[in-house]
Amino acid sequence: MPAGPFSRLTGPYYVHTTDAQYSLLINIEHMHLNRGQSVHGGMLLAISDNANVGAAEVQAGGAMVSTISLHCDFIGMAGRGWLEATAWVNRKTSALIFTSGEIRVRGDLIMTSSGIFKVLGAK
Amino acid sequence: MTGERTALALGYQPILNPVDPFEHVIGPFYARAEQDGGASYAFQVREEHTNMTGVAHGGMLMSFADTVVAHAAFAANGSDHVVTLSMSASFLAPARVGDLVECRPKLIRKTAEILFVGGEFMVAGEVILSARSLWKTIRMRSKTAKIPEIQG
Repeated sequence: MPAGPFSRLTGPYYVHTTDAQYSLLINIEHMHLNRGQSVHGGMLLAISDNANVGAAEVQAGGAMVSTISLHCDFIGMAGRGWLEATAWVNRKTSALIFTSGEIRVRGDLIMTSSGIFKVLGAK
Repeated sequence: MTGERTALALGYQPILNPVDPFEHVIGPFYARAEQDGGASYAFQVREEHTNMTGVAHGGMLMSFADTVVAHAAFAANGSDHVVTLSMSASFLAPARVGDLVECRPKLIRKTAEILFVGGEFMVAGEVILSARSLWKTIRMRSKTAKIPEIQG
């Protein structure tokens, strides 16, 4: 659950988790936009980080994880309104979790992502 | 603790009134023109930039990285518009509250349609994040060509 100070500053986020995937909903407002009235690229990256981290933390049994790498492709643009980010785990080792994710608006793909996370406390 | 005093002492100036609303929320960011062209950028990690482990949120670092490579891409492309295609970041070390994160972005290659931009993000001389980003150039149509307004 993205509940730390940065996610409070840029949220709020709403979370929905199933066995298969982790989903975040966020309502895009003026504060999230760029000069072109689209969601700022940095905000999309932050949403993708939160979704991939969330999926990894669920897989890690609630242990915290830290991002080692995150790759995001900007596929479409979005303005104000609700975004849904989903992420899922592709593989888990004792120390690492590999994830993929996407952001959609009303079904249209906005961003795809993939990440590698370290489980904190794991050797 | 490093801070604004350090940013100013290093010759940075705050980027006042950024045009993107989101940068008002997560900023301020700082810029410094370099003598041989280009610019360096910086921000100081504040408590509101942190995650639940108490270090700078990965999304905050990537938001700053996106803004920095955007400046480099816009500068490399003159007045033409550019949009982000991809951002890839490796997180080498955490950034903590008070740290000054600095980057001098580099234009790695420019083709007719694609800009390849990169940057190493440093705290006190050590790389904490390495970013690679692709940007697409957009040819602006004639300035007089506007989307007609719907009448009635």
